[in-house]
Amino acid sequence: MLAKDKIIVGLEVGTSKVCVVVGEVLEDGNLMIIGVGQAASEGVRKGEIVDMEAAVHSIQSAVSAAEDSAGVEIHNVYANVSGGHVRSFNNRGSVVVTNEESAISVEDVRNVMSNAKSVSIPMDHVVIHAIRQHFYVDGHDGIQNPVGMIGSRLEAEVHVIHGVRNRLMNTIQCIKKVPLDVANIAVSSFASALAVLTTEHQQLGALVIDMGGGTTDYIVYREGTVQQSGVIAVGGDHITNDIAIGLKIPMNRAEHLKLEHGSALVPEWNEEISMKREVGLSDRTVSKQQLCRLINLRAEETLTLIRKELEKQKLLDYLGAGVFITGGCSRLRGLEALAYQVFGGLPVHIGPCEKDNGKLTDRPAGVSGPTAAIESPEFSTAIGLTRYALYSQRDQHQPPTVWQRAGQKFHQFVAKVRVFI
Amino acid sequence: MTTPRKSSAPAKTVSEKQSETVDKKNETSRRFRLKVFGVGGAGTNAIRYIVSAREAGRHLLTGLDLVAIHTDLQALSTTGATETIQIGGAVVHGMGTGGDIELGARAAQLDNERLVTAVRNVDMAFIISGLGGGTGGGASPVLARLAKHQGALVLAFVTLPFGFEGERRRQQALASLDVLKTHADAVICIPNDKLFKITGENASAVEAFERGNEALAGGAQGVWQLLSRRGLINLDFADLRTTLGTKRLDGLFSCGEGSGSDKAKSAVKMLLDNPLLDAEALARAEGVLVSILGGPELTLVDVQKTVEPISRVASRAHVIMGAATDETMRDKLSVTVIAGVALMPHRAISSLPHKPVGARVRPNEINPALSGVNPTRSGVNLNHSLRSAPAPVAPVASASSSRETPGPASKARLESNSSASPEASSGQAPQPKKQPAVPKQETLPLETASRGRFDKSEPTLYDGENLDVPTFLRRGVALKS
Repeated sequence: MLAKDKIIVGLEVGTSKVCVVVGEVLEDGNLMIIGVGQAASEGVRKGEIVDMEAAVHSIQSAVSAAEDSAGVEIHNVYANVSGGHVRSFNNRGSVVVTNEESAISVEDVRNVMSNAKSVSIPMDHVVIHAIRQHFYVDGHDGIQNPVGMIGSRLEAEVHVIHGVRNRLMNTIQCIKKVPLDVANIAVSSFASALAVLTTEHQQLGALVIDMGGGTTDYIVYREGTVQQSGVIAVGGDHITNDIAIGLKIPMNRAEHLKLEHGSALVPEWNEEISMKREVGLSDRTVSKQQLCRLINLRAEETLTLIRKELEKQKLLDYLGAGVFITGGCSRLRGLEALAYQVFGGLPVHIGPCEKDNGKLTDRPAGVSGPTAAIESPEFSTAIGLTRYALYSQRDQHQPPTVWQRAGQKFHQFVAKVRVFI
Repeated sequence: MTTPRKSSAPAKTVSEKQSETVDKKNETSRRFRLKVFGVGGAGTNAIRYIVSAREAGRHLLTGLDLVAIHTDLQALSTTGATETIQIGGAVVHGMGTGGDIELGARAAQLDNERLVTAVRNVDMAFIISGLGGGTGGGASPVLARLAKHQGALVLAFVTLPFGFEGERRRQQALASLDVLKTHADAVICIPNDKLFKITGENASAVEAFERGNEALAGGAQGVWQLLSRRGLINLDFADLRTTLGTKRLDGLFSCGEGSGSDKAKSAVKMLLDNPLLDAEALARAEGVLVSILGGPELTLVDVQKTVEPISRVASRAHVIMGAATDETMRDKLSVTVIAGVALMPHRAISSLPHKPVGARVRPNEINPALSGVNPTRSGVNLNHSLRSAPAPVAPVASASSSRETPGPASKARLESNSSASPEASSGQAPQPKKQPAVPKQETLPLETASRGRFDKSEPTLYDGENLDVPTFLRRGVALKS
């Protein structure tokens, strides 16, 4: 049995699947994935738990599958949260540097961060993340680490992600019932970005869209920092639902049609798809064009909503690395081309990593393991959670050198989450 | 202030009305006058409730004239209202209408002049009634129209009958609501079934109705309070008009009260939890009026804590807020929200298409084809005022109804009906002139477009669109096969 703190587990409770990724921290500080587990998710709608017992059962089966695959026992997990209630905004905090030489101390940085985080959010909300963007010293922009610099006024910009406390607690409560301990939580988009983007991508500017079953989470990086994030409570389930309503067929048939024949682009030539006879259901055919039109409308709308949100913040022009689409829904045929259209010709990448001449080149550093797991888009969030865990654990032991931008916030944040767990 | 619709007024009264308009212009500087009208059984009960609450020492609509209007003389005699108007003496002889809306409407039209006197020089009329009954459902729209013609801002607080009272009564009430909405500036509608939610299942019937009255009276009180109190941040009549008066909107009303150190938070919570409030509708609101009443020590932070969550929910709305203090509110804070909610952006499948005519006809005649072939009946309707007996075929009236294009015969009848009363009361033959088009207020579809698997979950709203509804339905894309 491996030492407990060497094992990191990411648990993603999604709308359609529960995914568990077990990682082992290697000697060099990197992470190797030693096991994965997944199970169909019950009792989750639009990223939030609606049936506690069913969800507990799903988590249990996914966790035991992961335990079998990794050969370890799981006690402690990092979990994702999502749902339409998650909101975000950018905020700035400032402090006056008081010490005599006007050299900025670690204490000042801590103060300015807590200042930036003390924002007015709705009463029932709690801050999930306050991600540091950059600092200003005496109004001078773009400073990454101000400690030791001379200045009289220190300001910090943070990206604050917050959600409804009770609804976040539901997820945590559910995992506790399994029973497992929740070490920390992260929003799905942030976790997915950690799994998908390399540091270069983050510097160039990138949009990560995690299209899951019930929600579509997105996050925007620019110059290495998080600029915008959000959740649209629309996902693959909605596509299936649209098909079921539009073609007047049951949900399971709609799901099957979507997976087998669906495409985000409407084909030029129509063909009739005949559905297999099932007990109690009549034989019939549907038009492929109709099917794809339904999918196309929904997928285009969802992507357009994200584009509009980005346009509001004028971030579209800063996405040098392009758009990264992950999550189960990214397997939808034609989505890449559709996203290319919607985002006005930005490069679009599907799945967690780029293949270059068949060789995985720019996979995010620090994660290795079975390629099948790392490559499948469904696991992005869970893998991202293990990375998130890795960084926050590193952060607790040593100063933030490796991951400057993820930086110091973690242990403050951990304390925050502990308070409400 | 809207000028009365002179075009519809007959020659004799034009001069009268003009002089009134002048009067009104001279009087714009004075304080506005507000009257509370309780129409029908439920309305007079609400008036009685207000009176008894006043006697019990509560400050409910202090200083306002309460007018009780009913066909039933017996019910009317015990209200304690400032003014009581018995209508329809000639047709029902001091009894009730027995749930007949047509009879209620006719009763109101018969006593047209007395009602006009009551609403004259009133800047704002609250109409409180229950739409299920004959008088409430029939007379309220008439009163609303008269008040509107006199230039008042008309705000109606009405209840819809309980579900168990049957489909017919419900249809009747909804039809009446339709008509009322075309005349009143805003209608705040409380389905009685929601009373269950307020009182819980085990409440006694007396208690439930008491709470119903309280909700109705509380609504009027909330509006009155925000208009009458001088405060830190003043609200006035103009604010109310901005919220409710400019567009034809659905009115939404809720109130909450809190005390102690957390008073703002608990008041808002109570407000948002109020079953009368539909959070989804509030999110679509175009205008929201927030009125806060607190003790003398009310702080700006309290105000902020109260208004912020509300404006966050009603993110699209033009929020107007007011705050006032009152000695009696020590350590308490009460908040009232009135919102004008736009109708659904997409006029999805309305399960109740245009059936406003139901208000004036007997329910078994709702079928337009039936009523269309029966001009005699509409003649009777038109002919109410001078000939008190339901006269035989009145040639004038049937001429006026037959001048309308055959179109939807039922609609023609409605229009001729509403134009009829001033004409008839002045004793002039109705002239075939165009009635100004009465904009028809749409009803919210009772069954919105299907959300399928997401039916039970919280709707995903984005810019007022419910994303759970399939995209092709929202965009109206035809799926050709």
